[in-house]
Amino acid sequence: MGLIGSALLAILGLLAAVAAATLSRLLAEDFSAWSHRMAEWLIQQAVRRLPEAYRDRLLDEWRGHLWETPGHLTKVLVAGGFYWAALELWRVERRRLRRAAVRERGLRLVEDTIADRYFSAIPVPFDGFARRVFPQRLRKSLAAEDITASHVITARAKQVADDLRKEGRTTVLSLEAALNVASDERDATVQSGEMLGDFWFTFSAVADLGECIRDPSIAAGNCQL
Amino acid sequence: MSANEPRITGPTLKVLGALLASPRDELSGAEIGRAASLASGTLYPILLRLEQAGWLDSRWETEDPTTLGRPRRRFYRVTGTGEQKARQAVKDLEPTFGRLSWA
Repeated sequence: MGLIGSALLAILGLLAAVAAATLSRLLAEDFSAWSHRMAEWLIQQAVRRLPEAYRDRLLDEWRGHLWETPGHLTKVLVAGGFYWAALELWRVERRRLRRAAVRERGLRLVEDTIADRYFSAIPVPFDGFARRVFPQRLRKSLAAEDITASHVITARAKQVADDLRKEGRTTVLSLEAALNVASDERDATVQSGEMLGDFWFTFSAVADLGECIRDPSIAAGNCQL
Repeated sequence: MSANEPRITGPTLKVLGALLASPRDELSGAEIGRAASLASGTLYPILLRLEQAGWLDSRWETEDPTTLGRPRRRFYRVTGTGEQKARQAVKDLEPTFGRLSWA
């Protein structure tokens, strides 16, 4: 290849470099023009995945965050991060809802189990009244002491497993497994189980149930209400 | 630590450190992210978790965004409870990890 060939090659190289520079400048300008829309689109997608309680607030807050962020590419990356945050927040919310649902089912089971065990001897005309009033009081007392269904269900499973009907026992044990009582809850579990196992429920007792649960010094068997 | 208390992770400590070390009482989410070197995807779940636990408070800026010509910002600050709990959490970690500059 002679001098002319080399010169041609050099010219072609120069033209290619100029074309590449022009193209990348055009792409950068286009990106700058579109980056705001891309970031806003990402925020909208992120907000759609949020739990409802967060949507209005985080839409505004994330727009404000983006305004404080310099650079077009950085804005788009930050907006992508909001999408990730939305997924995490929804995951946490879903876990909370699942636990609440399990707790609710657990409490209903506790109500039915205890109502069956302790109210079966009450004369029929009063039985319906007791079953209607008792669950509300029990729920309030349990909530006041932060005693969760897991405490009660595990204790009840230990104490009354032999008394339950076959179908009932299976249900309690399944819920116990589902609730995964942590080791640091076991002491409270045994204590609440002892208290509940030895209560004698009467109509007036329903109103005073909270007192017995609140006072751990009342020995099992002595909580005469 | 009870079930309702936030887990103390490295990023959580960075967020608390950014707020406690700042000369101003309040910082916006973007400012916290820059100070703590945390990505937005990590930052906001932490901020909301700490706020739900009562360790942080937040408020919208008072100026009208239409007057400012930009979106409004939300500012976060550490509550008394949060500061106390954060310092206690750091103290518990000290034997393993040593002192933190802001603790």
